[in-house]
Amino acid sequence: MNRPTRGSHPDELLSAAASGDLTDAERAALDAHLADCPPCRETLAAFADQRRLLGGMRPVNAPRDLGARVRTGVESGRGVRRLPGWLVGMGASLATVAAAALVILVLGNLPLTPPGGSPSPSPQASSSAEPTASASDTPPSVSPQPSGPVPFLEPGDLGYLSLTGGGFAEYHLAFINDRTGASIEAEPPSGAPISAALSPDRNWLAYITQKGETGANEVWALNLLTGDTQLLGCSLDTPFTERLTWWSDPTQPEFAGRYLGYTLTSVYLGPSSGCPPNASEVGTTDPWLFDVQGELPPERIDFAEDTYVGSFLPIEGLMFMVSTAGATPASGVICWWCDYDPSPLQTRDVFLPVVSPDGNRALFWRGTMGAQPGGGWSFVSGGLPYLSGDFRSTGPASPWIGQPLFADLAPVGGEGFESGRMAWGPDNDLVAFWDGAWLGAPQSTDGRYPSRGVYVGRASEGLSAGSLLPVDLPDDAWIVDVAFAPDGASVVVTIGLSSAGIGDPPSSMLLRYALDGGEPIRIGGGGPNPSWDGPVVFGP
Amino acid sequence: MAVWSSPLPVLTPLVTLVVNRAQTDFDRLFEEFADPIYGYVLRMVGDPDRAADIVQDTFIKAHRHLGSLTDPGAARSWIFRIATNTAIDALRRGRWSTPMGESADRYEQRPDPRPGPEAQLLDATLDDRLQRALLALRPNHRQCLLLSDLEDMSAEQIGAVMGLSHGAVRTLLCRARGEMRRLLAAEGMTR
Repeated sequence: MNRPTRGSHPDELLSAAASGDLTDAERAALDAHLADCPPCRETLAAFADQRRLLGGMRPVNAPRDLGARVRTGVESGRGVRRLPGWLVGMGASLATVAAAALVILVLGNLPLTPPGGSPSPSPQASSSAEPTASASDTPPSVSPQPSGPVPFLEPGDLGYLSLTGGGFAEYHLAFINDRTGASIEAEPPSGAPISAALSPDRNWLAYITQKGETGANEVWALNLLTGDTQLLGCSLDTPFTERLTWWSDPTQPEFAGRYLGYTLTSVYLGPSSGCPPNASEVGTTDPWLFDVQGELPPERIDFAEDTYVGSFLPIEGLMFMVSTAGATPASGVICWWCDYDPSPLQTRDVFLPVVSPDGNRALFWRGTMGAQPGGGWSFVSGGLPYLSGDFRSTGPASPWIGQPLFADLAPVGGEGFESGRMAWGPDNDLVAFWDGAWLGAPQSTDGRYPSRGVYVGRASEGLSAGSLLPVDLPDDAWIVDVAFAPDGASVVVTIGLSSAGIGDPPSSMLLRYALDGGEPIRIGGGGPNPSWDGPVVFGP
Repeated sequence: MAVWSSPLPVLTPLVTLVVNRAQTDFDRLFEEFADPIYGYVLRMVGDPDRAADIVQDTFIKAHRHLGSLTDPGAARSWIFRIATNTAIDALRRGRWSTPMGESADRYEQRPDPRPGPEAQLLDATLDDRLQRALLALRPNHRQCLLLSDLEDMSAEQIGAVMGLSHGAVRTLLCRARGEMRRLLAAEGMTR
C-alpha cells in the first residue's frame, strides 16, 4: 500500500526502490512518475545516498571476552535451582499432597493481632496435614477503616497517573480523577509509571515507576485520603515483577484494602538512591507485604529463594498465593488463618496465578524457566498462559491441569512466550493478555501473530489471533498496561511511546476501547507536551 | 526424582550426544553472528558497554531457545529478532539513548562542550556523524533502517525480525528514511 507523504509524491515507492523492493508494475509506475518529477528524483537519490552511507559504516568486532561472558551466563543460568522444602512433593497426586506434603506457613510476625494473644516472634512452618491451631481459628477482629472523607474515586470513576516535566527537569506526578478533574500530587518519581492498582476500599493507590536509567523500578503507595506517598521498595525491572495485588474478600469487608502484595528483585543502587533497605542478595526475588495500618515498615516475606507474588484469595481466611521460579516453577499458599484447606491450590508447574475476582479460577503460566543474567526469571521453553479449572468443583481432577489460554497457538519444539502480562475482567470471564514476548516462529502467514499487542476475549472461549485489539498506533509503541472498566464494556490501554531523542522525557497515550468496536477515545493528554498518562484504575 | 533414577545410565550417552550437538550448533551460531549482532546492537544503542551486555543476553537467550529454531535457514532472522527484542527491553528500562562512549551521568552534568557547527563537521568522522543521526531516530526507525541498509535485509526478512508485515515494513522504512534524510542534511551529509 502506497502512502505518499509529500503531497502526491510516492515516497513509499521511492523508499522501496532504494531497497530494490519493487514489483515490475510498481517499477513501471514509478519510472513514469520520475520522468516528470524532479523532486522525486532528488528524493530517490537521497535515499540511495543514505543506503550507501549506512552500508559503508565501518564494521565493528564484538569484544574479545564476549564468548567467555556468554559461556559464563549460560552456565550460571542453566543450573536447576533446588526447590524449597515446602514444595517438595507438590507434583504428586492430590491424595499424596493432602496426606503428606501439605505445608502451611503461618506468618506470626506480621503487624496483626492473631487470635487469642500477641504475635509470635517469627514465621513458623508446619508440616502437619492437620490444620494448625491458628489455621482453624477465625480471623481476629481488627478495627475497620475509619469512614473519613469521601473517597477520591466514586464507583466506576476512572483515575489515571499523569507524569509531566522530566528530561533534565524534575518530574511531577499526579493522580487525576477523569470525571471531576481533581488531582492529588504524589512525590516526584524519577521515571514513568508502568503499573497501578487501587485498593478495594479506594483509599490507597499502589503504583510502580521506572527509576530513571538504572534499569530498576520503584514501588509506591499513595494514600488518597491524606496525599501522603510512601516508597515501598526498589526492584530490578525483571519480568513478572509488575504485579500489584490488594487483598479483597467480600466476606470480610473490614480488611478490604489493608494488605498489598508486591514483588521486588533486590537491587543495590548506592546510598543516595533513596531505596529502602533490602537484605536479600542482589538479583534474588521476594514477595513483600505492605499493611496500610501497620506501624512496621513494609515486610519482606522470607519464604524461599526467587518467590513472586501471585494473588490473594478472596475466600475464607487470609491466604496469599506465591510462586517460586525455577526450571519447574511451583505455586503455593501462605495463610494466616486457614479456615479453608488450601491443599488443592498447591502445585508444581504453575507460575504466577492471577485469580479471578470471584476466586473460582486463575490465569497462570506453565513452562520451563531460566534465570535471567543479572537477576529475575523468565520462561525459556514452552512458556504459555493457562486457564485453570474451577477451584470449587469437587471432581477428581486437579483444577491446575487447566487448558492453554490461547486456543489457536500450536507451539512446537519448546516454542512459547518469554513473558507477558494478564488480567481478568470484572465478569470473571473476560481476560486480557498483552506484551507477550514470543520467541518461536510466527503462527500466522503475515508473521505478526502472536504480537506484543493486547488480546482481549472470553476465557471460556479462549484467546486467538482474532482477539487482538485493533490498536492503530506508532510502530514503536509498547503496551504498558491494560485495565477493564467495571462494566466490562471497555478496556483502557496505556501505550508507551519511544522518546524522540536524547534527553527527551517519556510520553504515552491513554486510549479507551469499547469491546463492541468503534474508534478509541483518548483520555488525558492535558499536561505539558509531551507527557505520560497512565496506567489507569477504576473505582470498584 | 524417580523418573531419572533407573533410565539415567541408559540415556546418558544419548543425552550427551544431543547436548554436544546443540553446543556445536550454538558455537556455529555464535561464530557467525557475534560480530554482526554486536555491530547492529552497537548502532542501536550507541554505547559499547551497553551493547556488549545486550549481545551477551541475546546469545544466552539464543542458547536456551535453540530447540525452537527448527529451520536452520531462518537462523539469521531468528537471532536478529532476539537481539531486537532484547535491545527494545533494554531501551525501555533506560528511556534515553546515550551518546557513544559517554555515560548518562557525564552527559547530563557536562556543559555543552561542542565546538561550533563548522568545526564539528570537520572534526567528526563520517561514522560519528552517521551514528549521531541514527541515535536521533525513534528506536524502531533505527532498527528498520539498520536492518535494511546496514544488514542488507529484504522487507520480508525485516518483517520476520520485527514481527511486521511486508506492508508495515515498507511504511516504516519510508518514514525512517524521510527522518534520516532530514537528520543527515542537518549534518551536512546528503542532499
